[in-house]
Amino acid sequence: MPTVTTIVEQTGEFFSSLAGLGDAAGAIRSAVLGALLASVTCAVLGCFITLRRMALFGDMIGHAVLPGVAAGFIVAGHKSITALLLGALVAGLLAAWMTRAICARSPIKEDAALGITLSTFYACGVWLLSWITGPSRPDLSSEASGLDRYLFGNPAVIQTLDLVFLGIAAVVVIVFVMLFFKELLACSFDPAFASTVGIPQRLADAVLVILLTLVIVVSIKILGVILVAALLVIPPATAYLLTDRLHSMIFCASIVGAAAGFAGAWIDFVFDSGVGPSIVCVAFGILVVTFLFAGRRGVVAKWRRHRRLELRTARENLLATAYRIQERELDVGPELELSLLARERGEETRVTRALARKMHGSGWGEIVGSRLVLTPQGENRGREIVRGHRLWELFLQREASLDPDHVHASAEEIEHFLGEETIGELERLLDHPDTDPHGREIPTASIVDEEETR
Amino acid sequence: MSTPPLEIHDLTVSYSQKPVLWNIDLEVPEGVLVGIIGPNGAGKSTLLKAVMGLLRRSSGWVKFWGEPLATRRRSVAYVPQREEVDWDFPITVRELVTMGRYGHIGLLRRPGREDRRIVDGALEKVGMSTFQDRQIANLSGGQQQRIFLARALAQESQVYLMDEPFAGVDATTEKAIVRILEQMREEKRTILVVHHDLQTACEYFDYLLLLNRRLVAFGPTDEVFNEDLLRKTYGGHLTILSRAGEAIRESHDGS
Repeated sequence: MPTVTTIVEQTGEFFSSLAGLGDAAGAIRSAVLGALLASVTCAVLGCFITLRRMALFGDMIGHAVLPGVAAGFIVAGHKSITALLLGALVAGLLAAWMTRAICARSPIKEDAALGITLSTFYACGVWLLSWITGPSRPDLSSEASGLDRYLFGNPAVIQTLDLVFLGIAAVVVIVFVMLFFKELLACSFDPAFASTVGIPQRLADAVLVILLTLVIVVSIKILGVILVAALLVIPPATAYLLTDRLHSMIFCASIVGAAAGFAGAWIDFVFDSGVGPSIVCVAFGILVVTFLFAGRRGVVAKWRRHRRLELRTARENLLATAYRIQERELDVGPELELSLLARERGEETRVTRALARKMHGSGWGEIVGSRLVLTPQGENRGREIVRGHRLWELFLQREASLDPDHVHASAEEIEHFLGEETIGELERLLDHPDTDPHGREIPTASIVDEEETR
Repeated sequence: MSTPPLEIHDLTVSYSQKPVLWNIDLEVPEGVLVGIIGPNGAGKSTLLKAVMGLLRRSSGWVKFWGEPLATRRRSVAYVPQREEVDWDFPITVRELVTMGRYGHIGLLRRPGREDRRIVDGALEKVGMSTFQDRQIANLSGGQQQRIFLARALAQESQVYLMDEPFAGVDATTEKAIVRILEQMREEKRTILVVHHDLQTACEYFDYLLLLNRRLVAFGPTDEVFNEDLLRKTYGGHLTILSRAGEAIRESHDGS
């Protein structure tokens, strides 16, 4: 494990190299640029791939290009970038065609077809690689060192030509998305409709698969054949959690991709952890943080909303208990003994005290000694809750023809959610009733309320 | 007589060799509201999809005003079933409705002022203007159908094919949709609607298309909505057709 000092030193070196200082500047700049280009391009295209539920299709093509890389090498006799990429492109497209053909011409489902092509092509690739590096062709094996890097990716071997190809792919993808944005939107959201307005589905699908293969092929040298799929899926999935329009999703996914690409390159430089794995781990980290904290859809926000609701419900239930006691025993005022409340609720005073403590900060009441002292607002709220509860019970009994003993549980829950408007409507519907199904009086609209509305 | 807006001739549709719709012949006159009714699996959705070219026809042809669909696309609008799309998709109500203009806008161009005006009008008509900037998630079934209808309205077509626009809709919305359809009919548009409820069918539509694998009857509602034809549509007489279909598939499979 590197010490903090070396991490800081390495980081300094990383950034000064980016600024163009030191011997390794060129290589590091290429690596970072390559990682950025690959991540962003994958992220942009990945938005359409994930929305069309083709995420595993990307994974399949990633694996399936391997035999193409090996075949390109065998044909060229050395590690010609162009030959390797061309071979990969052909293998990727062949695999895509094979998957579609299996689905179209047999009852085998798409997930199984993907599994079949992925594993078969990958197996062929591994077999070709071991044949190349084996003893039977010494002329090839002497040239083959580093070919296995295509498995896991390694931007240290990035050359200018790789960057040129990455740049071309990035430009092609971004221009394509900008030019055909509305067609892509329609095809991804509602393919049947898109085709009825004259957007050719098969062509759109074919172009998307070709672009997907192209992007994967140019990215594998950085990310490796196995991990390239992660960048097609994780940044778009993160953006999916954060945004609710396609163009903002694409923008957001590119930022996540770029952040992961840059951070991955830096982490690899410091820890020598491999660029591909580092990028993927960073991207996953961003996804997790987003999942937990992202706005209203985040898990934490949901949990907090849930907690707030629970607290409100608990407080309101206590207020309702207080109202019921006051209703029955006319001498009970806004100060109620906790023991009295506890007896009414059928629990120990200790439990009621804990509940009453939660009143703190609500403006509805506070504990003073052994008593709960309610404010006028608190008394009012209790009255409203009971009113809603009884009206709802009556409504269920009359409109849904439920027996009186069936209505309490539902009312117990709904009483906290009935707004003023709904309560008013219930009253009109039920023709301003006086008593609930159990024969108890339904409180009228509270006085404080009326004063406020005036 | 002028050429009908929709003419179907000897249309047969098969799923992996097994015919599911047999020899449909149909001429729909202009300006009528047609209800397509029949039991589950009668091929109602299949008929619409085959007419729109979304499924391959194994025989027959479909013509709009005597021409193939490809040359009359702008005049024909299709509303798929609500369940066919992902309602979590990152798209706003307005963007979805704007899709109705795509066939008119053409490649490489963006919606113009006229398109925006039409989209405004369509949203207004279905009562979804206040929802226009919302993402489509969390809409009720009725609201989903309304914006699908608004997208179709934005297409400003002459023939409308709608697949179950009343599915998952509350009574108020159903009435509202029916009113819009009636208004469209008054504007001389021709509308075909897949519908499930026999009770409301005779009330909503002036023409009915009774379908069960083959065309049982097509005509003005008061002429075809009778017990005899309904029994033919929903009764057991037609099971022989599905058995024949099964036999054809088996012979192709070689079993």
